[in-house]
Amino acid sequence: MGKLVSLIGVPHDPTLPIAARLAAEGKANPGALPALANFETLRKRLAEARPDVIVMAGSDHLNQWFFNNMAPFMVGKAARMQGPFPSETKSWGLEPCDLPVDGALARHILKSGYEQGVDFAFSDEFTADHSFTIPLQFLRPEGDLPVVPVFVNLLAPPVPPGRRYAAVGAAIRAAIESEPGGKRVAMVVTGHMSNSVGGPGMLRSMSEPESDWDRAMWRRIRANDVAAVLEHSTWDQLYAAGNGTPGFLAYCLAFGAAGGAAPSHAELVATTAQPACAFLGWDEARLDGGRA
Amino acid sequence: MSRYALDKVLWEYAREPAFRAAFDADAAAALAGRELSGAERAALVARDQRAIFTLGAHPFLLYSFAIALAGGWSFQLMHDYVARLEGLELGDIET
Repeated sequence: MGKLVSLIGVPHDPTLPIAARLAAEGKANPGALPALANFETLRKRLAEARPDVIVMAGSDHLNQWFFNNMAPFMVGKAARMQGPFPSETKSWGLEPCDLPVDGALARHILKSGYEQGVDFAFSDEFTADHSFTIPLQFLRPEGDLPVVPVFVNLLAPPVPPGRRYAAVGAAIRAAIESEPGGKRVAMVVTGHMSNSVGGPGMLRSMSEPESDWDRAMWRRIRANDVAAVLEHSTWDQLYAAGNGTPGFLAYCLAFGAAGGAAPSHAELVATTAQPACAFLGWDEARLDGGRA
Repeated sequence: MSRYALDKVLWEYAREPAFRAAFDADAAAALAGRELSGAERAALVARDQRAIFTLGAHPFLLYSFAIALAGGWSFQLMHDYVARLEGLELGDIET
């Protein structure tokens, strides 16, 4: 049977690839360096886990999925995952991404979800936006692994409460562990801490990088108090902390998949260079312990 | 509720070059036939981003609209955009 060998939660801020390019010339905003260092640490942890495939959960930011047909949870099972959108490349100079999709695992997760009570939507034709391409390029720059994209609605209300994201994360893990090929599977989720992109508070992170909400939620995370994390993860609570803060719901997927295990890597990066971001990682031993 | 139609105009403007060209040429004509309220139609024709926000448009779509209107993202654009929304509170954005 398959095994979850690495679980990672990271941001996808499009200024970070720009910062990485500038850092190579010694010109990056110093506030971006801790985020880059965290990506590098988690890149190494992912490599050490020797995964065969990466299940990647991210948002679409209303790039292609719109209010005419909005699924909270969707498994992508096209032959390849390509992205990002041309407008994103134009704005931020993002690198192209073109990876094979592990169709067998994608279909297994989809069908296993139905058996477990998670009615995923699915798509055979999609584009992966920057929330997929940026984490993958930081965490696996070799681009040598197949992926299974899972699109989660993080910004078009109504959205389910955080506990449902956790339940879906747990269901994805259960599906991985019933995968018949014995694959070593990594799962990467990407979301936000407090975030106001597009809202009146968009510049607040430049003067107050760590909000009261960030501090409170980070305390719950450090205590591994998943019940409290989920209790404070409804749309209304998150939206009140910034119109983009519901992006935190992606991390709820990871807490569900962790099955109670505490992360082996946890760092909150709150500087004026980009909105606050959380880097979480669970290694194989921690994940094993979480199931004991 | 016509908020869906309002959001859809913002979405299409940022993503559909043909619609953007039509809107840029004659916004009122481009919006003919859309099921918008009078206030929504007027705010869109005026490119009044503060009014569009107050009408409950999705902030992310409004920002995409502003970026497209400006011909691309820049720090200046971001600062100008936030200045237009100064003092506003987040409201209901469900469609």
